[in-house]
Amino acid sequence: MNIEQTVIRAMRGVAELSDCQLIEPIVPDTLLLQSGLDSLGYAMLVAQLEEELGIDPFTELAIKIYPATFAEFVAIYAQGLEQTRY
Amino acid sequence: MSSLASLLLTKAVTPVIVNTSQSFSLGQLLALAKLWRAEYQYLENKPLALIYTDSASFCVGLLAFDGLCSDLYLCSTELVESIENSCSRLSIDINSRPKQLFSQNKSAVEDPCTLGKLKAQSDTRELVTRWWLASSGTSGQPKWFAHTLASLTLNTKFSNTLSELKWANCYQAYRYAGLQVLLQVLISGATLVDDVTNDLIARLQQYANAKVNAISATPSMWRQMLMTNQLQHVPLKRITLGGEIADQPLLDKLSELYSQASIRHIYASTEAGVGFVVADKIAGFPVSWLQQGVANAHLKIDQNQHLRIKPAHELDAQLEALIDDNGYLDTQDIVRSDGDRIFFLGRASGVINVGGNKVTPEKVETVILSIKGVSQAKVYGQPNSVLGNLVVADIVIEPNQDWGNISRTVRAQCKLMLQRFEIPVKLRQIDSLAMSPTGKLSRSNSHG
Repeated sequence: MNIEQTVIRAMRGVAELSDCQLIEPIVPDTLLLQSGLDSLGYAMLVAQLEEELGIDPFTELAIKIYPATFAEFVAIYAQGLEQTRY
Repeated sequence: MSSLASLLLTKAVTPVIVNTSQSFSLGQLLALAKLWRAEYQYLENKPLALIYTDSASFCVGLLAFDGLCSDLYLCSTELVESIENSCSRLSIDINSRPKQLFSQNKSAVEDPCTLGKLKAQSDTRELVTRWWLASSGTSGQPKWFAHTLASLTLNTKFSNTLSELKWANCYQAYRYAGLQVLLQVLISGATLVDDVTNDLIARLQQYANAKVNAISATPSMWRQMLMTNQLQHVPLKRITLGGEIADQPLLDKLSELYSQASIRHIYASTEAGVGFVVADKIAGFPVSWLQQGVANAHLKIDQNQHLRIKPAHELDAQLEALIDDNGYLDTQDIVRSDGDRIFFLGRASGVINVGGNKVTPEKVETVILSIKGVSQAKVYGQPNSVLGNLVVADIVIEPNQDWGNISRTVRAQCKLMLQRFEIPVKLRQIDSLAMSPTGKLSRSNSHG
């Protein structure tokens, strides 16, 4: 499963747990704040992804840009995973 | 100390509160307040629960009843439930009933001499009203702490630069942080932009259009604002962070985006009614403040690594048990000294701060322990980069019980009984929980 799929699956799981209605489909340009997850949902998503992927790029990286879109969010995880390889 | 209305008239400041469709000058707010005060004159020397609706309406209430009532309980619609029934309660809506009163008096309001007239007419028989602000108590029930206008405005400044600020209202004014913003706006003669939408992107667009240049928000709110990609359109000159621990990466990000802005993180205690401001864009505060004191208060660290604070004003009598012989209040905030800096680590009481919302572990544990088959539960905070902390629960179940069934019931019951931010995001089944020698749950470490 690639990172994008992992993130979408985690988003669906978190939406169910946190009583949020996720919009479908989630596309690269989807604005995170309009995806249906609220701030608590995002906090849970970051915690869930830390369990699955072993990283929380928001604490481990000096984030240049805070992600606004789904694609930017995925890119930050891709970058984080890339860095942990070295 | 005079009432809020007299104070503003004496200072001759010209604050403005604007919302999406209206703008209210101080003269208009005072004129409306005068009408409310006249109508509710019978509340003289009596307590009143003032229910928040919006900034302008709430401000009218504060102007009307500070100096008239013995006590003002600053409430939301939920908080008012905790106030005794014998106490009068009032929710002011600036757009309904007072509007008729307002139009009858429009000529008076528009008269440029109005402020002078109001000043001349202001009631000299003013008493010192106690302002009550709620804080979440250990049982999760609100606890009320008394303040005075004097103590609440101890650190409020006035200058030409401050009067040019246009503040956005991210907190509602019945909370300590929101009240601080409202009082700062009023006393410095600044502008407050009140918004109604919950959509953060739309709200930031509104701030950009209104040329908002000052925002006070929790670190969690700032992180969300950064995520909108809209924040850079808001021409910020003053950035204030409060209500949670401000971390260095966030301070760095904000100072990178706004290199010219004043970036200040505030430490405040609703209970003590004190706060101090750190303006050097570095997390924590300088160790030298332990010797010098700061903002009319003295600071020290006790043997439990708790920050203790001794303000210039008298503390609420309910806090007595937390005050030492020298008058220092135990803030229950755990700190760590590192070089020339003191850093905040969290709350000693185990209270979990989820994006500025306080969660009492005992309250959540009570809900979990009410479920048949659960023998022990411990609720604690798990650090989170989005909201500071998330609520997590460790649960011990009775032998021969099914974890799947129990965890589903726990989730369902928590949804029913708790607010969303209080519900544990993760339930962990464990074999046993550590107890302290006194038989209490050990809260000194986060796990097990």
